[in-house]
Amino acid sequence: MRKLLICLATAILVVSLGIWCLGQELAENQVLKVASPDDDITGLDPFDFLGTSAEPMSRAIYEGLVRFNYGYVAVDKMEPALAESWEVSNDGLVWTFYLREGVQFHHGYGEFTAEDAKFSIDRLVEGNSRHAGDYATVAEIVVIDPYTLEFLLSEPNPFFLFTVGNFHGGSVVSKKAVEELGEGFRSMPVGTGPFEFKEWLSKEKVVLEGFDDYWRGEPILEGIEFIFMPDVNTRTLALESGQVDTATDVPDEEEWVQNMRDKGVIVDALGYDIPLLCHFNMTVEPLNDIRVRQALCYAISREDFVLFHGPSICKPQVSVLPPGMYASITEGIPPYEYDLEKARQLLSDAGYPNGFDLGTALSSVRDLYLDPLEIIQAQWAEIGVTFEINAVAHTEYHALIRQDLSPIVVYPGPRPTPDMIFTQYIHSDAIVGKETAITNFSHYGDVDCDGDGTIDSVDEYIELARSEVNTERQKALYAIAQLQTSLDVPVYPLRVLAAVQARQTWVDLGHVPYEGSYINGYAYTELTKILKH
Amino acid sequence: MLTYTVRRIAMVPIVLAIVVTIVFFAMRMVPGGPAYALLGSYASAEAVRQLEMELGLDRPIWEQYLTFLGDLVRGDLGTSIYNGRPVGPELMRAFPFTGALCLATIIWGVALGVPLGALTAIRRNSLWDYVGRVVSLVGLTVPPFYLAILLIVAFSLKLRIFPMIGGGELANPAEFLYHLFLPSLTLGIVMSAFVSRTVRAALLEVLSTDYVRTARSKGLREGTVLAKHAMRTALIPTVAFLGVYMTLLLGGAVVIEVVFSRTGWGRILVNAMKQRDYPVLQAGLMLFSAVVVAVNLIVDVIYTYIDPRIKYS
Repeated sequence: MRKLLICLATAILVVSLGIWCLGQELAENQVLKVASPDDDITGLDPFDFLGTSAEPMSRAIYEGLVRFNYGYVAVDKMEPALAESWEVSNDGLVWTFYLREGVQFHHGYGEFTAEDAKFSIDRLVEGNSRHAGDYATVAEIVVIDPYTLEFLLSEPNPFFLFTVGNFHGGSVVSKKAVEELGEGFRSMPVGTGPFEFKEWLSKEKVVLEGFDDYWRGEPILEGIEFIFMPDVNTRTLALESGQVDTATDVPDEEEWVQNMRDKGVIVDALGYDIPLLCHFNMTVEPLNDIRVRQALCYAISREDFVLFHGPSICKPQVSVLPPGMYASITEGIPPYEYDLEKARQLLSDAGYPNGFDLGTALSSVRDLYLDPLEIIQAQWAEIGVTFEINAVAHTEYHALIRQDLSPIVVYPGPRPTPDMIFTQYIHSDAIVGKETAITNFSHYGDVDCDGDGTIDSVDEYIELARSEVNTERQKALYAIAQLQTSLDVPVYPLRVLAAVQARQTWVDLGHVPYEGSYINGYAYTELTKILKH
Repeated sequence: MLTYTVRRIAMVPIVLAIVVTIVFFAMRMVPGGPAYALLGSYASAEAVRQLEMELGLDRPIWEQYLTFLGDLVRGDLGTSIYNGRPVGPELMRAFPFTGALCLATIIWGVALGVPLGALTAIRRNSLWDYVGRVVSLVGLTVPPFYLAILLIVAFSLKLRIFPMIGGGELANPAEFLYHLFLPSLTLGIVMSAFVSRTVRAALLEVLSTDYVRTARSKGLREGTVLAKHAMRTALIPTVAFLGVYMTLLLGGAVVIEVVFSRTGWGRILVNAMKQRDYPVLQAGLMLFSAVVVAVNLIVDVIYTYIDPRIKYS
């Protein structure tokens, strides 16, 4: 009788498990179709700048020593990947990684060892790659044995783990493959990730195949097709008709998001990734006067930006560091709340009671640049401040603004760490026109912002924070830098926009929940699957 | 005739040389080089300079020009700055997609446009004429990208008959044609509007000539008059129009290739322009001009066959 009961119980268990599995049954076709937003990619070698469309491909092909905890935005939640574990010396200068054994490279390029990891970063630095700067604090990389690797740093780097993750330069390539293929590696990438490269038809698609020997286990997906679909309407219609499974860079408009959700498409508005700063060129009259800049700030209504995109995907940005980012603060930052009376008063104090004409401001023809500039143009007209907009081709725009040709520059730029934001937009080394120029359009750090006869700058705090390992002290340094910047008004933060992307209900990413990502585009892993639909 | 053709062919290299020279210098005069496009938005000035050095863009412009000409003479079209791939094979791979699109468009345009034009001319000032003219007016004014989206919504989203992504595979002709249907129909509808207007105007003119009256007065049936006498003459301007339209088609193809996510010359060229990919642009425009010259030559030759009055010397 007892045996019978046990048998019965087992049978019930098996049947219900079966039914549960049936509900989760896989679709017959396990080739995932991804709508990529660009016309093409420039290649798949992590040595180069990859861009929006290639980043998700790169993450499927390559791995780093560590990886992001997929689905979260958190620098402090890195997971083991090619390294099983790691330790850091007390002074923060020696990082030792214990590597995983038996990891295979794609296309029969052999086993991964410490040599490959060392080579992957050495080649960036020696070849002066775009990512070389991320490794400026790395003095030497020492191979202790095939499975132990040591990084000797010249100074502590609190964001070090981030640079050996599977993003940008952290992707580990096969030394043998790079040496054999040379330039050809760009279109024949070899990594250790869950998917191996199959083909790249330019202006058409990139095809990846599941890598059977992947160390975490054979991927469920047979392959991924990244289809280049530069037209946003086509991406929308392809989603609606189910001809693609996921899409990135879809319209960042509330109406679109709602409409797609009503049609049964899952839309993820992830994190608040894309900050937007209005840079005032402080070498230009009358923007050199802090009262004028403050007046312009008071005349901007951030709420209009939020309304423009919709409150579910857009939030006001008050500090240079976007909300939600490590070390971002709002307390104590003067918000310059929308107040036209105050704006007019400040303008007349500065000697412009009826406003002034700023001349011509440059914009890219892309909406991400042009829309906010048009909003500002309308808002400033209220206090008599006018300017013309000259919208030029995107490449041309990037060249022209670096020649100091626009009195204001509205620049959207997602950067993953506070250091990158400060170093690229605020530090005086980044001032356009200099040898070391990056994207400091305001000349902050080289000019007297408030008319007290001294040069104003936060360079010192940025540099100190860069190598401060104590997180409390580091946060304090960033807080000072944020406060000082907001008082000097070289830039005015406008809004942050969520990176919007969409997927079908039948796409199981294999990692839940999805709270955000540093990089635009979903992460596809060995666990990603297409459910029956 | 033969000497004329030979002379025209001999002109081709000169035309191409002029085109590549203009393209070469014009491209380099526009601000923003390929380095900015490649390095992305946070490139430092130093990185831009270094990349320009690697690409040889820091050398004097005449030196760059001579190197380019030298490579060209050796048949080397260069390597794309953007994706590092040889330009020749890339353009060759995309050629069938654009070629088929243009050809299919012309077939649609003629198949839809000539009957429509003839109908509106023969039934002049009737309901047919008004409806036909309104239809062609719509074809003239609706932007191709909008028409493309309408067709996608109808055939791809609602009816789910035709695909909207990609150009299919060359190795599989059925699939290739299947993917060609909607894009070529879009451009074909636009083109048929132009064709029908040309045919209508020409046919109206011919129908009022003496020889048509003669044909009618000798008792020929109206169908014979139209088919054998009037249409043949009326089609002459249409053929001339096709030659001109071929060059416009590539412009229209860009939009269609983007909307349908197809590969093709239009998209390659526009992307190269945006990215300042000099080698692709130079080679692409040169080959494109070669195609234009060839098409015009063919049209001229066809002309002499359908219109015996024309003699080239």
